[in-house]
Amino acid sequence: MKLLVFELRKIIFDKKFLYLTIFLFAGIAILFLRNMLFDSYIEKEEQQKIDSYVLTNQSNKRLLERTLEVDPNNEELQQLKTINDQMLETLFELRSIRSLDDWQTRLMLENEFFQMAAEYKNAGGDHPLSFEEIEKTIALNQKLLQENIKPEHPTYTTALPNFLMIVTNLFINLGAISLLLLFVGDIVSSEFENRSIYFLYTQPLNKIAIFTSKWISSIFVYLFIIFILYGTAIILPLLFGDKGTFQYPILLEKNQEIRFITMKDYLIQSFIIVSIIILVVVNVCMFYSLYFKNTLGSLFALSGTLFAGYAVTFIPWKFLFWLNPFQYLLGESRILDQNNSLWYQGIAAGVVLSLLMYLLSLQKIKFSKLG
Amino acid sequence: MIIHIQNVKKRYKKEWVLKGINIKVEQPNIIALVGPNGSGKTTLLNCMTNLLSFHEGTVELVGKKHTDPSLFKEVSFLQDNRILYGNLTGYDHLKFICNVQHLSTARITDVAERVGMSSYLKKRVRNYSLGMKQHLLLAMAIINQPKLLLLDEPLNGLDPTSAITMRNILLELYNEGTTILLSSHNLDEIDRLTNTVYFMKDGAILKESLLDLNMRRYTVSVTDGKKAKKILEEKQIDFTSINENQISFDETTIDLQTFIDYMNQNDIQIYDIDKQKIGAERRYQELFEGAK
Repeated sequence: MKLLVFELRKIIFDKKFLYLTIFLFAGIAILFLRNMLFDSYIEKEEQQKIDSYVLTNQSNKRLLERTLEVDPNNEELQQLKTINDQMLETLFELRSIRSLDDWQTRLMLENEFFQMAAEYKNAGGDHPLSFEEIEKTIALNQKLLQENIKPEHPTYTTALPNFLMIVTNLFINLGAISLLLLFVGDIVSSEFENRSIYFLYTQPLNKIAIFTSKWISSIFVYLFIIFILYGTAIILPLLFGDKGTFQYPILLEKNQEIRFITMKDYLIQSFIIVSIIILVVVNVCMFYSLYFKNTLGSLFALSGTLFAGYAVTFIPWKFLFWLNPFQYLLGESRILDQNNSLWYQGIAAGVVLSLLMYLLSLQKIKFSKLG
Repeated sequence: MIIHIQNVKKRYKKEWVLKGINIKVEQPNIIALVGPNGSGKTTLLNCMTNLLSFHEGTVELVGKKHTDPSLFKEVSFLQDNRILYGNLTGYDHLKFICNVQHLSTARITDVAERVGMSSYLKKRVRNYSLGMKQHLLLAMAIINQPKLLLLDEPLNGLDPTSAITMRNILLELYNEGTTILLSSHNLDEIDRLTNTVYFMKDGAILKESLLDLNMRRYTVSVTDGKKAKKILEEKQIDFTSINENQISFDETTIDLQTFIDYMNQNDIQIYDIDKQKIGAERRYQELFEGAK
């Protein structure tokens, strides 16, 4: 315990710790400020999107009319023209209600338009919207209507749960690993580089206790990062944003089908998988630090291991997902794309690998001498 | 036994850096390890404290095997100042030692006062000067009142005042019963601290280490140097010719009275006798620089 307190003091009183904490806090605050400032831009962006659909459909209309002048009895072209006209009508209606904030009507009209777009493409027409995009938009809109939840912009949102999701996505896509390595990536190696480990080794202390206190300190720092990150990401929307709902549907693909989980579930799953990958990274990094006894070497080895591990996820053998915890390197896609495996498949492997690296590190430090 | 080192050998790759070191210390003493850079002094200290492994031999300090971390309750090792944490205060360092060694934190004030660092005890170490860091290292080494104190170059970078303070503290500790083993290049200071000096060269302790550094050396000026040297040669007495009429010899080879008698018997007049303690510096010059 005394050793742990000393380790934490060493970390906390380091200027780097202060700068990174400020950076973390400021980063989230700037992100939220951006979303607040871009709030008015959301409507404009939606308008531009509809305008671009209108332009596409108008151009299709002109093309169809010209072709029908040449071949007026072509039934297929007539059908396409009918659908295209209906789509244009829907788009005009959609454009007219943009500023009214009647999101239910908007979603219904949007779905009507997307359904017609699918019909148009099925009838042989050409439209920039892909079938996948159409299918997903319709499904999400239907879910929102069904749950009576106001849609939020995927990027520029100030609603608490949705803003949390933005922050979480940054965090689980390498953000957590980068932050942790900046905070404590050198917790073991720097002791060897600065030779301060000599001080600890010449105290009546067990080497295993020295290592374990560093390990626990790293986990504390991870929890501290979570606290600052989510603390800031919760307080700012509560003070200046919208309350939103944690029942907000998140669309994902599971076994080639569209499924939904709630925002609450998404955040919980994100927290679990990011914690697993952090556990793996902490243990692998500490083992390499003991092995190489210098920061650069251990970080290079760690990066190599992470990327090699992630590359394994591209091997088309589904069973490997049970064995590879490095699949959580990019956590967002791991939850949203569950076509090849389920999101939790790598958890056990992560725990086992962490435990293994921890035990190897204990063996290593037991016989650790000066470089 | 305070120090019991038996036939310690260590090599880096194929090169032996310690070639069978033997040291036995049974009573409190001040022992100096002296030798040129690369002679193995620091390696020996690191092996003694289990910071480095060695290939052969055994080390016991204060009756405990060197691999037993609990020995550091009775043994302190003053190393170089890179072991200090710049972002912590001197107080933090001392408090940590008190905590892990179950000592009263009241000792911090006492020891800080003793080494003269009370005024900057609560400043961050990154703001310390070299001398201040050395004071902190000393405070860290003596706060547990060790039976054995190992010091690696404790006088490095110290100004004369700090060096005197350090020397006085070491002598006080010795008088209180602490055995001190230090490596140093400062031969003047060693002469003031101890007569027990182990000279190390190429990983071994030289036999000459056992010579008493309190031994006197005489330099005598005579009226007929040529004749005097001839007499000494006939008697097979080891001496050094300084110049034509000046001779130098150690008191172990011939005592002064016998020398005077020889000169009187041969009508050689002595007009000057200079007596000097050999000392670590002189011995070092003889061993490592070929001076006589």
